[in-house]
Amino acid sequence: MGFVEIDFRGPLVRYGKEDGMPLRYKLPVDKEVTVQEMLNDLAVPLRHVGLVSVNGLKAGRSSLLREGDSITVFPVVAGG
Amino acid sequence: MGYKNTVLRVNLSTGKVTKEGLDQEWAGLFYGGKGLGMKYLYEELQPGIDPLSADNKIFLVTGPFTGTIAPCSGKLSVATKSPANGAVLDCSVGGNIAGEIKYAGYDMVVLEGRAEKPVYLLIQDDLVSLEDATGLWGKGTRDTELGLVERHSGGKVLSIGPAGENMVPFACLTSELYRQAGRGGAGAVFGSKNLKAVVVRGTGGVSVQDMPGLLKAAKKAFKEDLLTDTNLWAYTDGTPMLVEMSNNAGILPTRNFQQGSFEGFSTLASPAMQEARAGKKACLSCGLGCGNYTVKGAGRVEGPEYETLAIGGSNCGIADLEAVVKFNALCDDLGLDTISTGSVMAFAMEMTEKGIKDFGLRFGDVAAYLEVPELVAGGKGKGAELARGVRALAASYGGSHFAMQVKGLEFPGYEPRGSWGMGLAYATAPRGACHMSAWPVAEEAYGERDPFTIEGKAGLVADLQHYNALKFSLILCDFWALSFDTMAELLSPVAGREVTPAELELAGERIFNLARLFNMREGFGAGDDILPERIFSQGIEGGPTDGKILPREEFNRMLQEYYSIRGWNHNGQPEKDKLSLLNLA
Repeated sequence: MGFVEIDFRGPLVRYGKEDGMPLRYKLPVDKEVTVQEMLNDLAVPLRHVGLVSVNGLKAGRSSLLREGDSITVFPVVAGG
Repeated sequence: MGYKNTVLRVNLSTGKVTKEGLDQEWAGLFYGGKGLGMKYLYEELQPGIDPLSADNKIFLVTGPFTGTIAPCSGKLSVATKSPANGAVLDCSVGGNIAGEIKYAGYDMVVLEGRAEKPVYLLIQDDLVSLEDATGLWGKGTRDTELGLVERHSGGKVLSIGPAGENMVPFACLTSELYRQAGRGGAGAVFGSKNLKAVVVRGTGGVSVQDMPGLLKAAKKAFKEDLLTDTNLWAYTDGTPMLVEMSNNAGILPTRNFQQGSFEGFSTLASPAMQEARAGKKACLSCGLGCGNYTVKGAGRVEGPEYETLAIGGSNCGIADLEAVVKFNALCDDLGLDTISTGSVMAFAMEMTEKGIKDFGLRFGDVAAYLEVPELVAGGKGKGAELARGVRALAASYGGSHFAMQVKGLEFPGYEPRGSWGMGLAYATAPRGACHMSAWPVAEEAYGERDPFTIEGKAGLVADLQHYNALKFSLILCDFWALSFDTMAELLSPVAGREVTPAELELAGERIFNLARLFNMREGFGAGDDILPERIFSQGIEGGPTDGKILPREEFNRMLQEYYSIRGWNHNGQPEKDKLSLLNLA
């Protein structure tokens, strides 16, 4: 069975950690899953999601997930 | 408007102290902070004056919310003519001193002239005096502030270090030991006036037109807007979170903007910072508390913020948090802007490694890197050269195509080849390469908008510039992503009338155009709205943005579209109709 790992940053961490470890998300066997579909499945409000990176590279909401991917979800930010 | 209707004016040449009324018409048009300070500056400064002469003035400006319960309203705005480039300079500093100025009874403090010997300005409510600072001259900001607080219990301090005394063009002002009005050299203006510090103790209050209305609006803003997942990243992580974001988006400046990602980024990222975090700090009236009090090795700072981690870290090839904390602490105490100091070091490192001019600095060489701040602040050895800034060094020794500056102000921590709107923002920001005029990276590099197109970017940057111009005139914190609607809801009870979001947006445009008029009067034109050659012709090396440039022709198209959207002509000058619309004619 395929899994991806998800690390949340900032106030979004409450959606993620399992015993201090990145959340493991099980990919369905019968269809492909995008970043956005995964976030919806985890009930993460999309309006609070900013940058998402997959394996250390910026990814789009429609990017497809692959087994073993490491995903980092950052909140929306302001200022600089 | 939440004001005391009193301006304190101090002539350092004569020692004369006067109190005058706040110009109500200007306060109505420019609100406060950035806008109001620039208006006074524009009206009172003679064009062409030397920023380091007695003819320059420096305005310490509060805003309509200063000293009230309005969230995130604690910063002080500073306006002057920049010694870095002769352009308009506005910057701000956090902490508590803005509220203290208003509690002492003043909306603004105007400092003009030049003292014969080192002094500090002491404000204790109605009592205002110039005190001898000979014994403080040469001291760092830490000893200066601690000494002055011991002498004047409860006083809030704004001071300079040796860099300001020696008029380094990127010397800053420091308050509360760790907070800075960083960019553009306000510290050098203090130094040029022999002004070591301003100490303020105020015991009065602030009144607004409709206090119950403000309490209601503030409570709503705290509950429904500020303390939500939209803003709490500033508390949980603060700006160090941007290190990993920029790295993953390929816009983390690395080795003088040769690369856009850094193999050692994780040493500087938020998880590493959290391990070294010793506490949190906040400004007056803040609901967020973005300040990370960090202790690492011998260094203790409030920070390092993203800009320091990026420009003083990856951009110098430093993968060592302890070294960056130490660099930050040195710059704070010496009174140096970490952005320009880091940038000038990165330029010198590349010059050295390319064999163009040997400054004895190389990317990643921690020992040499940590020697630089003291040399720059004191004008010693190679520090005297580096203190001239990137543009002047390139003019003397070459390397202009990788001299990362605009209008003489060094780049902050975002790579414009990976965020094309940011390139336009740098090129058109009134004070030079600046991330505080507009910050489109949030939507481009960090968001869903395509970073590698000019489509829609001219309008985006102009809108953001108006937003920030107004927000910083109300002096609300950059990290609060509030709307014009919320600003209007908060300002209405303060002003005692219904303030509309539309009038605030128009005021933002007015304030941005006023900055343009100031710069035009000083000789700046469209030719100064430009980026370094590296951005146009040299691809980023490696990482997510490998090979990316911002093509010159695309930049030029974006710039002309921007002028058109603004109602400016092809030479970047506001048309008369636009100025009339903005009450600037």
